[in-house]
Amino acid sequence: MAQLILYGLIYGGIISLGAIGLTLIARILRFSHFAHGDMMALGAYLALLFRVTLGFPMWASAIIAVVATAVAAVAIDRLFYKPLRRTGPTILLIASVGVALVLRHLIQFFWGAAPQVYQRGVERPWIIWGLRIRPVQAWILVLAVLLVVGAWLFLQKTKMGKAMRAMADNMDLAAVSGIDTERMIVWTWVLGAALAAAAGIMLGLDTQLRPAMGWLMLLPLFAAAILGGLGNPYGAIAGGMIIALAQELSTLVFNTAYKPAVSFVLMVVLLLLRPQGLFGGKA
Amino acid sequence: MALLEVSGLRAGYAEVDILHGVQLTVQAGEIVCVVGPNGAGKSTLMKAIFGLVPVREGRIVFQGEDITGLGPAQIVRRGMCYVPQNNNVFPSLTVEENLEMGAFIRRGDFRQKMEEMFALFPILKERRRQKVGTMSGGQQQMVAMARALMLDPQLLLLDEPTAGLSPKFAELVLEKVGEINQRGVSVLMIEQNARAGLAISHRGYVLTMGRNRLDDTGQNLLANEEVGRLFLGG
Repeated sequence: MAQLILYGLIYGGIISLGAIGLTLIARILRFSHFAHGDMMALGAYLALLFRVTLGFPMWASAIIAVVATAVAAVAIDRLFYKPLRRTGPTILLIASVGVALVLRHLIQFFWGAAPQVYQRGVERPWIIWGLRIRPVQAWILVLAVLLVVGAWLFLQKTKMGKAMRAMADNMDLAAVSGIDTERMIVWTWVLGAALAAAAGIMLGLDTQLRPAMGWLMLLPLFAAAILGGLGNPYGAIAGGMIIALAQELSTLVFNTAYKPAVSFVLMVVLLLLRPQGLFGGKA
Repeated sequence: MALLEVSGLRAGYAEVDILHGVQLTVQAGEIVCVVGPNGAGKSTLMKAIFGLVPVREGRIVFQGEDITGLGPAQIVRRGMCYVPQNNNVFPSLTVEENLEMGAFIRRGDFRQKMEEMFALFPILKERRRQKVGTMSGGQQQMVAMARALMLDPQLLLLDEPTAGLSPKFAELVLEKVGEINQRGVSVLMIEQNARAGLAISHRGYVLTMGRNRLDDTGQNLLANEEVGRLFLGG
């Protein structure tokens, strides 16, 4: 049980990092960004490029990949989303599905469909208070917590973070207050994509890299964001933790193959009972 | 020189003109109130002045500079701030954060300005860390006005500041408008409660069907028979 909670926290950190960006984009740009999972995968594969192909150390590969993914996200926004911004949320949503497919197939084109890993070999887990944790998982846990706390502090304390929350609340009023909303949108993409890339790299470190890894993450990401009320980045963090813990703990009762169904069921039940999300963010 | 001078303003949405050649001036230090029936174009006039609705004809001159066609971001930097009628706060942000967003483009420290706002609206000081979405309509209106005042504007645009408020709060909000004006901020406001609005204003404009109908001092308009018949309920 405690072991499952530990795995839940690791997975929850990864989901939360993705869901923060998804939520910010949903509120500020008013559309559900279906390419968010594939941005995670892009980050993971870019790290693979630097780690395995070019032989950089893991930490350097991760940093370069995070920055490169952020740049890619801004470029995608300028190329695909910005020209469509005045049209409507459905069109942007469909466009993002297109971007998702393009990203996934580009990944498959360059890196192949076979699963890959950053590092071969089996790591011996540490045993701490009877809990088994691999060193790389400990790293993921620490980094995920640091990044979630960092993102929280950024949104809570910095002027730019507050402006992002203000834009998520009321875009028109932000513009009327003199906030340069276009510039803030760029920074929102940078933040969202950087967190997504970090999450993707962690996911790759924990298990393996597959071209569809991001696509498969979409469901838990959306479930977490919706659980958090799709308005509130803090809700997304809590939602990520709840989804991950529920998925891990469900294995006590159900076959592990049903894990993804748990986020589905949670999402559907929540939408039926409390469509504004657990944390009361305005829908 | 007038602080704000609007002449021959024609503006509207899509293919439809709402304003058909409106003129209006605000002198420095004045409170000017625009009244008129629903659909007269009052809000559109304010949005056109603030660059939120495209101007098709006419000129808007603010502090001697032609600001016709500029967007809100540029107009804010020239010393005019705007409080919309609806959705005029950031509900999930605290009072302090709302004020900080009002001061977003202000260089340097905004703390002192915030303290000034708390002196003007003491209730906000008590609730400085409360989320604005959980506050009453009257308190939200005060947050909205305080947010707009964070940049020390020369001119404050208020679109129906008392809409939806209880009579007690409506009176309080208009009282605050008077206090704001005494601090040297000129005010251009729209008020659906024409009697109360004109009573605190130096001058007023009556707008009907997107055209100027009357303009005079607040007191004279209150005494005017036609205005009485049209808006003040006999």
